[in-house]
Amino acid sequence: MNNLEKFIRENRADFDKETPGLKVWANISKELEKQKTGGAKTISIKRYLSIAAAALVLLTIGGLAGSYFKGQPIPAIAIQNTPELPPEFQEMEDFYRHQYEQQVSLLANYQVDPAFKDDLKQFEEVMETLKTELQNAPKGNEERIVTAIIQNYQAKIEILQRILERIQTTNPKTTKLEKDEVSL
Amino acid sequence: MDYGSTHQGIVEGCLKGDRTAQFELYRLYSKAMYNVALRMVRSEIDAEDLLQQSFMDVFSKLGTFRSESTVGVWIKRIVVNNCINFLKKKRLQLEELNDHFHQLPDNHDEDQECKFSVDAINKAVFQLPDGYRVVFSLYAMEGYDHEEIGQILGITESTSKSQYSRAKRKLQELLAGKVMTE
Repeated sequence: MNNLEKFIRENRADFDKETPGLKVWANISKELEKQKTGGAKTISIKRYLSIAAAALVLLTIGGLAGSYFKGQPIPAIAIQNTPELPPEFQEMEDFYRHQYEQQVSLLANYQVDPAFKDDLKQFEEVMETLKTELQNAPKGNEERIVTAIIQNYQAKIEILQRILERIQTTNPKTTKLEKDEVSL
Repeated sequence: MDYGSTHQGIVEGCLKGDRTAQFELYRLYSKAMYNVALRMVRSEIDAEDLLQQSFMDVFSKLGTFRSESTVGVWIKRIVVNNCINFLKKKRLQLEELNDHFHQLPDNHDEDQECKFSVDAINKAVFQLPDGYRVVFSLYAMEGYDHEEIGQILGITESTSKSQYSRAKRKLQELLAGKVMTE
């Protein structure tokens, strides 16, 4: 190292003399605000469906299946106010939530084991945790969490579907008629 | 400038989109980064634009920041890359960097015992042609080694070395008043 390099190294901090204008932060702040409110890009449902399709949904509904219809009528399961998802995931969220609600309203016509209700409640709790996690997730981890949310929805929907199927195929007489169903 | 600190709390706040944390990160690094940009692109307006663009990149890419490096080093690399891209778009004479003269004598001892001043050096750096100035700034000011400079500029390590020694010689000429114009 020669004298010039040595001098620069020893006085390095003094070389940073200039100060950027205040408008730089003002612009950054404005941009950040814009991103937060409006301009978020939507990610297509298709993409999330493909993630979802790849995800293996493990169901542990064996215990449920045995006694699904001898208990109390299942009340319409209240969907709690969970923390807001980032806008780009809202589309996916809406899609699954709609499916889920449909299943719930179908099942509301039947009598279902209360244990089943508890299980669904557990799913809801996991869902809330996931959503909170998603909000605080470092960038790059979102996909993993979104996948977990989708799996959660899929699991719930699949449980509901299976229960409905079982009720309708094995005990047709104990069920009320759906408007689309043919009376036996 | 404290490049050694991880500023972990601030980084975490930024990741949550906390505006106060974002401003804190900007406040800590904007001045140093502005000077990095200014030395590379020379124009205050362009340097401010690049600073703005770089901090937008910083906030949107912060999730990819891994603590193997410090956040200061990470931010600096974003600024440097943006400056290089800017200069390339403006047709930075990087051809200038292509090595035409291989037999460059090592001039380590030609260093005059003249006393340096920060102002004089800053002024002289600004007078260097783009290619020289960029390599000189990256090596002597920003502390990158020639291998890293090679990666940043897409040139070989040996080209970076020879460019640097020519830039340094030119700078010393400027400092000695041989070519000083002001």
